[in-house]
Amino acid sequence: MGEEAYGHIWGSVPRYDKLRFDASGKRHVFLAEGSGAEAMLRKWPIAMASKYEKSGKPGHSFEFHYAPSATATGQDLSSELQETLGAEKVGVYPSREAMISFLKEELGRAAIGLRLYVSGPEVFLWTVAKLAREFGMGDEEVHVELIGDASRRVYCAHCKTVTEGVTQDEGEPCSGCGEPLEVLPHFSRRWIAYLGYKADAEDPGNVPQPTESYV
Amino acid sequence: MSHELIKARVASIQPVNETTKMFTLAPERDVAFPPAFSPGSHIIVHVHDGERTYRNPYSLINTPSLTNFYEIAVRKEEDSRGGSIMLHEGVSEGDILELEPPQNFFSLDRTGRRHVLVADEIGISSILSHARHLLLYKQPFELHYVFSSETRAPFQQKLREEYGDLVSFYPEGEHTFLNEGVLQNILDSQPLGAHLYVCSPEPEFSESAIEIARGSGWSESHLHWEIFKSTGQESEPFTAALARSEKEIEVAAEFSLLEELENAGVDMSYMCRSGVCGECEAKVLEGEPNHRDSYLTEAEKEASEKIMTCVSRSRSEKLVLDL
Repeated sequence: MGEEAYGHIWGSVPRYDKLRFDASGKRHVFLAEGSGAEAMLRKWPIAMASKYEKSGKPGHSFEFHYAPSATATGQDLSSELQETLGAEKVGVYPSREAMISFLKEELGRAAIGLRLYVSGPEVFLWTVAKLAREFGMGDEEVHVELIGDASRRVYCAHCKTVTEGVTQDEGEPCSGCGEPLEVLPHFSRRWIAYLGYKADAEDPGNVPQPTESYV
Repeated sequence: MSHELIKARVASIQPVNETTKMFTLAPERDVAFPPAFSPGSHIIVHVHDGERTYRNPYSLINTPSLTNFYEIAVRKEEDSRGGSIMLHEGVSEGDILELEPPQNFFSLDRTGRRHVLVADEIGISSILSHARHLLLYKQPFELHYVFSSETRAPFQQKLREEYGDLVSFYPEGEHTFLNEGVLQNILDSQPLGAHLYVCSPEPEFSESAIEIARGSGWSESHLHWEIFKSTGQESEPFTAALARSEKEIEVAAEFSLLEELENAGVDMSYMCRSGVCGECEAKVLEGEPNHRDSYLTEAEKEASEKIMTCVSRSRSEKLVLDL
């Protein structure tokens, strides 16, 4: 069963749109992982960053942080970013963890007026968003765009294990109890995971065929 | 609409300064007050004056964990609401008052990493319970108190004693504070996750303060403000025509539209009586409302199809309502 089978899309499932400039902020910090760097290489971030740079006016400032890392599909876009945006403006990190630990320090000393623009795999987006929440940022101050790995983390309602990289909505085994999982259209921002339960719980032995894949 | 009322005894009345008195209200006999209230709460006090009943909201200023009594600060001025004059002149210690239990439209955001409290004159009364709570729970905060004269600044001494360095006073008034960069400096240096709370009797003060915060990059979820004023010097009388019940009601300058409707026997629903909850909405069929609430969106205000009867008035001589 896909989400539609429930008759409606549940409110907790994230909907993604392209990152847009948020003029209500002052300091605009971009964070990307893997092919998420594509979002930084669009016209507007490049144009806005250079416009405010040249004008010398206080007001908006822009920073870019990138971890090539992770995904098998994503190519390393660090040199392209540094060429386009200026080497001094782009921070490159060896891993997601390294970038997150940098961000943690930065959020601890940041002033109000910060906006985050996050692009990359789904788990990365919500890892950043969760950290921002812990530092008291409002949800409207954090913008996210899914680019690249769309596989999902799934929290098993039975054994409470979180299974990484689930690409099917039905039948993939839980990494804890091994039961085939049905992924429900409920996403927890605290767990950074979808809710899963035994796919044949209602009708033992009969696991529905997958209808959607997330890669 | 009937509301659950609690009977309370006026345990003491103490002058705070020339214009403000503090009323301490205690439960009558064995009837206890509700077990807790949250910082920022207010009660609605019913005061009878002949045929008329005033229902005025007053912020609770005592420590929220102490609920065997309620303290409210009441300012009396030429343009203050009828109920406040009645409380000053017609109520003595030992009298019984009726009140509606606490409700809160100005609560603290408990996820805040720092709380910046800004009070303009009697607006301090909405901020006091926040400050008490934050001090008690050792949460980071700062209090900024703006006023134009000593008589308009109750509790100064008390605040100095209780809060020391956490409180700053701005006796040069709102103009310097808002327009000469004072508030701007305060706001620019706040850490991520800070929340701003503004309370003033004047909508213009709160609006300017919030606008300055937005300009400094504060986002909506971190901004909180309360306004309480429905009548006053700038208020003009007008006529409210009720289309369905075919009645015409004269709204005097010193009464709110809601009060006049209630006085005329119209069964109005209400909650906050301060323009934030949306409960007392009426549909406008003709005429141009003078919106003073913080509930309707700018677009809704422009459309002039609805009015919050507790605080808003009329720009036209007559307002035709679907009541």
